[in-house]
Amino acid sequence: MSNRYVIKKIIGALLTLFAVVVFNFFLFRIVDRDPLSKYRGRSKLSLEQREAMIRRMGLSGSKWDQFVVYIKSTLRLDFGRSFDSTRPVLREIADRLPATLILVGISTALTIGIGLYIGAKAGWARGSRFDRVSTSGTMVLYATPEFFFGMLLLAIVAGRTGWFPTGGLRDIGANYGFVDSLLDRAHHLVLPSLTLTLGYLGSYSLIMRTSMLETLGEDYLTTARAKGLKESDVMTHHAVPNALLPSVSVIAISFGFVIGGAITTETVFSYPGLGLATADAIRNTDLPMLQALFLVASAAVIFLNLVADLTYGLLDPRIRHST
Amino acid sequence: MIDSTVLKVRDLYVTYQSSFGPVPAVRGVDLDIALGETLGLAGESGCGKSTLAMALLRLVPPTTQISGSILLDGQNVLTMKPGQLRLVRWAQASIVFQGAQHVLNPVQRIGAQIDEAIQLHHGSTSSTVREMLALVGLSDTRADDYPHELSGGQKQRVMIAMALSCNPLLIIADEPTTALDVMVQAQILQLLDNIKRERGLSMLFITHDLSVLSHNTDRVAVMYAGRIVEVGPAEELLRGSIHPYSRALAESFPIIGDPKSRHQPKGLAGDPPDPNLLPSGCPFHPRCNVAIDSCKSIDIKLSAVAKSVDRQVACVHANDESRSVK
Repeated sequence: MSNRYVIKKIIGALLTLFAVVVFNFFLFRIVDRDPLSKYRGRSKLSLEQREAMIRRMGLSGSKWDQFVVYIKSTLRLDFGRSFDSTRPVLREIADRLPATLILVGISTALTIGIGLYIGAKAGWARGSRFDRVSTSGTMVLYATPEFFFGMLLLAIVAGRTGWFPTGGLRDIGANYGFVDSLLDRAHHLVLPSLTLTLGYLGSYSLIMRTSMLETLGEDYLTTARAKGLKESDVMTHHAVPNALLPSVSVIAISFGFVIGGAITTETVFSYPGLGLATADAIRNTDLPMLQALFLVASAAVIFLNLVADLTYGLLDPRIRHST
Repeated sequence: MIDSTVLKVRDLYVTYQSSFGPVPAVRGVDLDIALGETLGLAGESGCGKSTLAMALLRLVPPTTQISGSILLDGQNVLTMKPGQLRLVRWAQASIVFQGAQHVLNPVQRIGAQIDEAIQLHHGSTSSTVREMLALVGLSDTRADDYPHELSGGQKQRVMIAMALSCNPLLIIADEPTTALDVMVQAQILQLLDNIKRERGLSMLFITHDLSVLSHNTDRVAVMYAGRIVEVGPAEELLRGSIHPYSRALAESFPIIGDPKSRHQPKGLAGDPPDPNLLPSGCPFHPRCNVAIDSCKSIDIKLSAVAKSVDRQVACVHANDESRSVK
């Protein structure tokens, strides 16, 4: 991959991130004229205290002054304090980030792996029994919102059988050794990651199936068959590498939805990650927290798109060599 | 005699299945290609010539019906089990596909694509990618290139290198120069000719352009509506075709040095018939300028003409004195 391609993509990502930061500035300033109207302890504050607080939040002076303060503090990763817990927003986010990273990471890996496999197989054997069964199955998965799976799993698997905990990150109050504690966390992860996986499996599989169908008529597959390759090798060596290309770009776009899915899934399972934090912050109108969470979610989507772009460059020599 | 026949096709029918019903693309074709011989197969788009080429290695869609027999080096391709068929593909007969724009995998290095065939049939060849590239006049540094980094002519050279990599007896060249500009076309034809001669290969050369057949084929067959309508020694046939369709095909190309033919090339009115709605009798009669009443009802079979033992024509006028060589 040419360095120019990588640098171009990184610069593009940074510019997008900057645009989000600017957008965020305006978004949270049109919410309310009085930035403290949603602050819980508002009525107990004196006028001076209120003004001091507004000043400290960088919300006094002209819009331009506010913007400069906002940019400076964003660069320092200073997002102020949560209205709710009064702890620094950065601490709140740092505490909850690992849980979400693990949940979304596991689910995304499973979704991509299983989804692409099913889609490739179904597209290749178009019209076969496997295709018909898997396509109707993935259609249902695609059409069902992930929190519904979450609620079903919660009610049936966790509620009835008790095989899995109904929520949380780990058993509260239990005193485990290192290995047991890992197992306990894994046990708590099963249902939420299953929910998120089921929620997005359908779309990835359907995307891959479509790209596979588009590849089926390509002349280079006839060449591969003429050379004497087995059908399975024609598929894995020639059809799949080409069908992956359009899938990668569509999957990149869908990362935003996965972040959204994390919010509902974490809420259903009271899983204390950034998703649950977002839901709580919305409920409590915790503006400083929300502002930072918006930024984190946008940054995550931009970063994952950058990864997808670079992967695309690795997979497609035509992209790699142009520019 | 039998040993020297590399390809022997008898009564070949290829019928595609479409949502509108069966589509007969090839209807009773006989072909023979001897060792070291080149047969040119000419005809308009849609006459079934590419279907014929694909059917020779059973590369048509699985629902397609094929009947008759295709003997490749004495073995019937149509009755082979899939495993046996895979061994025969490329090792006995390989194909130089049309265009080469899309016939190479765009995300695989060309060296790897040539090597894939070599590894698959390593029993029948000891060639290396480097040798094959050198044979078609490409430097071995090209092995690391991807198809999009090559020109159209270079891609066709890669295709030829790939087709030769397993030492086949027969090369099926399906419009190998159609997508190329005239200069490159001449180079590729020259290359194919040289290689064929050096290696004593047999070749089936498929084209819609009769002019490219004149210097590099031994015999020519003209195809119309899924059938061969005329076959004979190349020079004889190209100098004076007997079947009105072959004649029209020959006249549709301008002759160099004849300004009249350049400014007013003769076309053939009408389109080739839809395989689903073949005219009764001789399928060519609606477009034929010498058709007589009986052509509408009687379909003349390909048969030898009186004045030449090597020529066969499917036309009621085949033995008319008036239609003799100009």
